[in-house]
Amino acid sequence: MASQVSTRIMFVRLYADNYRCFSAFTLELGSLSVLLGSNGTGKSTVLALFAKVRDFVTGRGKSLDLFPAESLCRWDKRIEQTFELALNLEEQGEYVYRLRIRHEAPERALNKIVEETLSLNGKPLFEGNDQEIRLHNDWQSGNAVGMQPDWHVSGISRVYERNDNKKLVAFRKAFETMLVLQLNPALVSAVATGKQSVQIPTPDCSDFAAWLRYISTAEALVRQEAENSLTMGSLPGFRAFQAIPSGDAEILECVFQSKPKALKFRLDELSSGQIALIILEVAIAAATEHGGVLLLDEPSNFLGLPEIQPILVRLQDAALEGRFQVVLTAHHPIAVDLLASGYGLWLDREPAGPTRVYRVQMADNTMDDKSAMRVSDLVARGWVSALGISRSTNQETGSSSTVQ
Amino acid sequence: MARVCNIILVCEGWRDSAFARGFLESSGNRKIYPRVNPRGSGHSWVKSQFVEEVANLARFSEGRGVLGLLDEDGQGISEREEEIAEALRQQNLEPLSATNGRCLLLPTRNLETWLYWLRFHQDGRSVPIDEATDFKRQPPKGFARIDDRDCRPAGEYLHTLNHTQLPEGCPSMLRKGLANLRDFVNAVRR
Repeated sequence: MASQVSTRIMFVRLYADNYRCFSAFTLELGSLSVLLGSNGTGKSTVLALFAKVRDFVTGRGKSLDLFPAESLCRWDKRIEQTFELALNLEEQGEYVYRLRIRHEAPERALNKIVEETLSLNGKPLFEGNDQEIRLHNDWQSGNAVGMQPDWHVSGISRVYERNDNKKLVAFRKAFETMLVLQLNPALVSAVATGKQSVQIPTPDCSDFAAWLRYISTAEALVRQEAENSLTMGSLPGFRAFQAIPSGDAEILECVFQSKPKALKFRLDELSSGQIALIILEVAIAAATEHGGVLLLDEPSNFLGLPEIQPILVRLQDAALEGRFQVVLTAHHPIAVDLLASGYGLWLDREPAGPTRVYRVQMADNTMDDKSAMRVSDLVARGWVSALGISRSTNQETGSSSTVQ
Repeated sequence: MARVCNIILVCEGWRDSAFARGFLESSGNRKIYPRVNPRGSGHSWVKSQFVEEVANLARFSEGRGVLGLLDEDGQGISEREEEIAEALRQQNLEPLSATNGRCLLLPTRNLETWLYWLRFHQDGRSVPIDEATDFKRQPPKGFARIDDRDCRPAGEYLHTLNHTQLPEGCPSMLRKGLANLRDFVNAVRR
């Protein structure tokens, strides 16, 4: 992978063991990472797992809901799942977060946290198990403070911010900059009910109207930037968002330039592609403002051909210029041809076996002259040896799956 | 109405693309379709794709300009120019002319020469930058290496310079490149 500029918040490693198709699976990430591979190899699962860990660490979900027994590897008899995330935070260093969950009674959908730890530059900030929690101060000095564990809720999510635990809180807040989007425009509602306002949207972005309501009040600059980008050309004719009160709720409308007067459409009256473009622009503006992490499952889905490359180039620019970290999954030929070489991570898997990951490294004889074959052509043919991927014959053993 | 790209940009890598887009976007050109060699280098790829895009410009009415960016890499400017000229002749295409929207930038020795010179000029430092040293491999002694986030701002800064008033010490191909870029921008505006 090309040497990359670091972003302010950068997830550099994900480890998952005994979770869906991941068995001792390690994924190393740069400021731009593009997950490639056939269907069912675990690309979307990687993104969904990031969202689950985020929701767990920030207290938005419990282990019982986020990591049900069905998420254990089907071929594995062990009852413990392990997750580890390494995160680099500017001016702090490398955090390593580790979570171990035991499914003691899978038939009754019961599990519990048996280990939850957080260290910064190798020194502990938080040490928890099913019996006790020890909370260290920022200087890792003096006696650790004890806390009562909750078997299903992250201890880190329950720590109150104080003057002596800013490092732990900075880690938790970094997760709040993480956007994971697996768009489904058909589910996106134009209605934000009651006082509904969400800081982090669901991956399908069905609550986009409530998210934009939050942004409009708490992060007005993000809304303005998104409107500017849409107006500047990514959505021809677009002028602005408008929230119209309707009883207890608000209806999100999009105003389009027209003569003699502007036309207004409810968000859910727009095409899937237009909705996807709007959400992507807001996500890019939010990630830029937060200096955060944007994980997108197939951003080219729903977009027209002329729209795909500009969005991908902007994501590439943002990551390489250090504005925010980008992790994408990609099947579309434009995305594959633009980004596979240099930033591609190929996920591979035998049926009913664990996922392995390979860094894409183009063979010298594949691309250098006008007879070169496009990367997407090679992928479509399954000629992935040219991408530096050599499938082993004993993958079904699945003892470990790391970047080769 | 679908987005129409008027300028096709053919480059060896993302850095070249970011630099050129920095310049073009500063001059008000946002409808750019970058084509970047997926391998990140390879002059033969750029040469063949550039010539193909020049041919496309003659065939399709929407295109207004093709801009190529190709490192000289110690191969000689006249040799590089002749290679392209010959490839154009083989396809019965007219010679390049920035005023007709067909422009090739040839940094000697590579784009990093320009990036370092622009950085030093912007900072008001007088550091001699020659066009023979490979600054991609090794930055000027005592200075930090250029990284990805410096490329677009360098293009934007170049746009602020007057090509008729560049100081002594400006790399000759940058001087020529800026003059060509001005002609190119005027040509695609028409």
